[in-house]
Amino acid sequence: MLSHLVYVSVRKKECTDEEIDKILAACKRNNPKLDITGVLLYSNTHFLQYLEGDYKEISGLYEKIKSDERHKNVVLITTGQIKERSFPSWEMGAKKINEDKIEFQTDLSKEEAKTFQDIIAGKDQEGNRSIQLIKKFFK
Amino acid sequence: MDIAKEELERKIKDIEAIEFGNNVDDVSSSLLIVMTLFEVDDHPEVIKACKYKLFEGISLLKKLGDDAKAREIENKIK
Repeated sequence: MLSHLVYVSVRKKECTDEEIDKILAACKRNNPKLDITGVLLYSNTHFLQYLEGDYKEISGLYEKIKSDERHKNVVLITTGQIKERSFPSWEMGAKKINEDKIEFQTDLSKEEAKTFQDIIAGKDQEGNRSIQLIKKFFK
Repeated sequence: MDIAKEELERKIKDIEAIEFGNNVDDVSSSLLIVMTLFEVDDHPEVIKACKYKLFEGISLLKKLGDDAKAREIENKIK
């Protein structure tokens, strides 16, 4: 069953930007095999990750993610069935969130980039609650 | 497979497992996590677990001397 899962966590001080690059590299290596897509947002102090895929796969991945030493206090925010993926081409897109703006440095179509910008700008995405969370958490 | 039940159990387990640490920055960072779930979830058991954890964090902030931040969070959950 196609599902989504969103969690938030506290980034540990030892988790450098280089470590995040390693996380993304691992995602790009492993997620296609599991048919998981999504986006990782991070600031200096927090992570928010949105995952899409088969419920069992993303559920299993979440349990592994929880045990990663680079973050702590990992909390599930929402999970549930979805009709279609919001980020189908993102094996794991990512962006560091600053206070003021978001720039994209990941491979995605112009349409998907616009979708994400709309989300962050506060435009409703067909009532998808988990998408609303992304902008809410980082505003 | 009862996904809703699994989700509920996971959320409560995750919240209860939160450890705040012993300085204002760590406590504040973790409180933001709890507050995120508190603000978006409407299940009574999740709200109850979040409130319990939030009050734990608020108490810690007061002990650490950050009364202003503690009050700010208290006002959000009243």
